[in-house]
Amino acid sequence: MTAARKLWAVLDIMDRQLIDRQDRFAGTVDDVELAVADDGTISVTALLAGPGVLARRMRFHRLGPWLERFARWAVPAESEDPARIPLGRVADIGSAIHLSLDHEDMATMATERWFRDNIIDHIPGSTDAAE
Amino acid sequence: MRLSDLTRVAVYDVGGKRIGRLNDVRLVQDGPYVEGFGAGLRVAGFVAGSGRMGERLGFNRGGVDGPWLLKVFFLRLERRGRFVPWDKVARMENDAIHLSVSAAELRPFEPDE
Repeated sequence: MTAARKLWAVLDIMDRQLIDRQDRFAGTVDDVELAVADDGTISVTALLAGPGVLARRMRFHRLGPWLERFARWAVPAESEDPARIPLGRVADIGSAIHLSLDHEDMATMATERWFRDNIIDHIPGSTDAAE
Repeated sequence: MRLSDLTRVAVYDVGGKRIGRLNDVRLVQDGPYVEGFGAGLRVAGFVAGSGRMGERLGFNRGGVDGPWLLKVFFLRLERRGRFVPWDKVARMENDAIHLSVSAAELRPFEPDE
């Protein structure tokens, strides 16, 4: 029986590059969600990503929550929390963090998609910006 | 709760003595099974210390091997760091973690903790 893998949350997870299942860049880890179980143990439940999460982590107490609300508004109602990547969608944690989903399916990329579709695409000469 | 709620929080022992700040959290992959990931990542403890440059660069944690001269230098500076098992946490407040043991009962932090 092999020993359980050990990681340092800040050193090995925080700010790591996220890679989708087609090996495309998909943002970075801005924070880690922890949950306390009934027996008092604490476990990782999700990775958090997005400008609002980063702003909150950087102690911008008004800007962070505002950006997180904006991301929820930008994401279609049927989507999950735009800041969360559930641990079950993490395929591997190494020098980068590989996910078992596509860039397009990630709720955490919703803000970027909103800016692309609603602002960047409307700037003259940006025909190929979304490519 | 978020990891950033814990990092840099001041840590006090049972007598109210300040040990330092929480610099990193040790995760062990032996938690409840998570579909698609495997065994979950359980918080086993954390390292508390002065938060100096060597700790921030990871020289006092396993896996950061070089340059060896810098590693030796920072390890000597950071020997005051302590590893705190999570079951020694008595209570958490917004800006402080209070332990149920004294600082003397905590073992010095080892890089491969």
